[in-house]
Amino acid sequence: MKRSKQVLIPRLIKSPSFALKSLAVAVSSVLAVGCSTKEEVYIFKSIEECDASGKFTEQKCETAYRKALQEAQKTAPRYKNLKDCEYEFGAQNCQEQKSTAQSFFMPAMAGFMVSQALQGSNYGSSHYYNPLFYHYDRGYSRYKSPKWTTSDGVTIGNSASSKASVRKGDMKPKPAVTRTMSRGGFGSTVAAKTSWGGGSKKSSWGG
Amino acid sequence: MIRLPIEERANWEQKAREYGFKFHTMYGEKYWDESAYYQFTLAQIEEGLEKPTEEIHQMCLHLVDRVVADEVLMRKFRLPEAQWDFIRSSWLNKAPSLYSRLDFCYDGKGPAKLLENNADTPTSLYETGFWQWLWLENSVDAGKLAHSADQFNIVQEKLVNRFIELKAHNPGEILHFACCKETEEDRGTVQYLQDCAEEAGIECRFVYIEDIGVDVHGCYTDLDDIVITWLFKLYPWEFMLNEEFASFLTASRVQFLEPAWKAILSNKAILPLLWEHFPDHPNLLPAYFDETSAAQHLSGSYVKKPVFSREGANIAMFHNGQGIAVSDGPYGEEGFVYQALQPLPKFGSSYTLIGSWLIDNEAVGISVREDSGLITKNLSRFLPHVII
Repeated sequence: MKRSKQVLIPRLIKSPSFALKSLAVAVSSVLAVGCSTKEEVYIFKSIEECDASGKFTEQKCETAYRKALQEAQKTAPRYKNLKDCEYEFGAQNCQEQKSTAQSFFMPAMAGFMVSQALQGSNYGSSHYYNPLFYHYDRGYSRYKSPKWTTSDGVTIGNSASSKASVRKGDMKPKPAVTRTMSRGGFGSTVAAKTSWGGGSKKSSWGG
Repeated sequence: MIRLPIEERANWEQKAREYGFKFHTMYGEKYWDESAYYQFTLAQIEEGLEKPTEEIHQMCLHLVDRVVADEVLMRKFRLPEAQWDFIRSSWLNKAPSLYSRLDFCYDGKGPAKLLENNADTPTSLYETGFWQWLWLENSVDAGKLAHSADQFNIVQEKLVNRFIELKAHNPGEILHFACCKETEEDRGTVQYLQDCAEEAGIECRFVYIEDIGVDVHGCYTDLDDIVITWLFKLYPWEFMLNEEFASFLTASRVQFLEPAWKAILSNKAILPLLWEHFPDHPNLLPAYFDETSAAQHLSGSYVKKPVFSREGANIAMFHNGQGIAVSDGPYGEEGFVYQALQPLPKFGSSYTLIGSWLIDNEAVGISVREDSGLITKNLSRFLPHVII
C-alpha cells in the first residue's frame, strides 16, 4: 500500500476550538488525580558537586549543567536596575547583561536541579534539568538564608537541601518571556506586492 | 495515466466544512474538483515519479553545496550579500528540513520533466495528505472504486514521523507557526502542519508574519512576548532575507523550517545550474541563465521564468519565437531564467501538472493540478488520483 494507513486522527477534525480545549482540560485534570504529579530531583551547586554525588555520570553532570545555564540565560527574571534584582536575589548575586539596545540585570544561576529519571535515561525528548536561583523572600538581608527558586518563581526548598520533590511542571522548560520593542519588520514585501492586481485578496504566498 | 469521470460524493461540501477545508472554492471558482480523477499504474508512480523525485532532490542538494561555496553563484541566485553567511551556515550546520514539492510535466509515457522545485513554501499539502486520502476511502466505501484502488500518499504519516524526529533535535522547545494575514489557503496549510506537529507531541503556537516582534536582545517574539526559538514560516525566504528584521536572523539563533538553505533550492536559478551539472539528464529540461543562449539552443521555444516567482506568476512562453502564453504578477525584478518549452500534457480540455512531494529526502506522494491554460497557477483545480 502506498498511502497512509490511517489519517483520521480526531485532532485533525476541526470543531469550534473552545469546545476542543475544554475537553482537553477536563481530560488532563482527571489524569492528574490518578497519576503521580511529583518528580524527584537532585540539586547541585556545581558540576563537581554533581560528580562527587555519584548519582550521575560525569558526562551527564556536565550536560545538565550546561543546559541549565543556557536555560538560565533565556528564562531568568530580568530587571532594569541592579537594586531591584539584588532585593530579590541578594547582594553580589546579580549580573549585568548588555545587548545592542539596552542593558539589564539578572540573577546568576546558583545551582541546577537534575531529575532522578535521568539516571536510567539517555536524554531523549524529556526535560531533565533546570536552573535554580537563590531567592530571598520579601527582600534580601544578610541575616536571612535564601531559598532555591526556579526561573518562574517556584520555591523548591531551602538553600541547604540537595534533594527535593517537585511538581512535574517545574521540570518543564519555561518559555522565555520578554518585552517586544518593535513589530512589523517582516511582511513588507507582501504589503508591496499585494497592491498588484488591483489589491485583490491573495489566497497564498506559497506555491 | 488516464483521466476518468466519477460521481461526486453527495455530501462532500458539508464534509469539507466539518473538516475545516475552507478553500475548496476560491473566487467563485472550483479549486477542489472531484468530478474526475487520474488513474496511474504502480510502475508509472514508482518508476515514473517516485524515483526521479528522490534522484533530482539529491542532485539539488549536491548543488546547494556548490552554491554556498561560490560567491559568483550566490550573486546569480540573487541572494542578498548581507545574508550569505546566514544561508551558508544553515547548510554547513545541516539545519534539518521538513518538506518540498517538485513539479513535473508527466504524461505517463515519457520521462517526467522537472519544471520547478517548490522547496521553501509548498502549499496544497492538506488537500494532498488528508483530503484526497479521505476522498479515496469514501469512494471505495461507496463502491464507486475497487477495494484494490490505492493512492501514492504517505504524506501525513511521514509528516508526523518527521516531526517526531525534529522534536528530538529540539527537546522541550515550542514550535511557532507563521504565515501572512488574509491568506486563507496559507492559514489552512499552516494549521494542518501544526496539527501534525501536535500529533507528534510538540507544543505549538501560531503568530502572523506581520505580528512577529523583536525584543531588546534581538530575539523574535510572538504577540504574547514569548520568544520564538523554533519557527515554521510559510513565507518565502527571498522576501524575509531582504526585510527589516532580517538583520536579527543570525543573532536570534532560531531554528527555521524550512531552513535558510532552501532559498537556494526553491530559486529558479537552480534550473540552469542543474542542466549545467547534469546535462541531458532524462528528467531535466535544458535551461539557461541568459536569453541569448536560450534562443540559440532552444530554437525560440522556451519559457521565461523569474528567478523568484510563486504560483505561476510572471511567466512568458515562446514557441518558435512567438509568444503563446503569458501571466502577469508582481515578480521579475531580480531577473529571469530560460527553460525549454515542454507544454503540459492535455487530458480532455485540461492541461495537467504533477506535484511530487518529499518529506525530508523521501518521496511520499503526489498531487494532480489542472488548468484550462498552459500555465498552472494557484487557482488551478486540484484532482484526486488512484493507483490501479
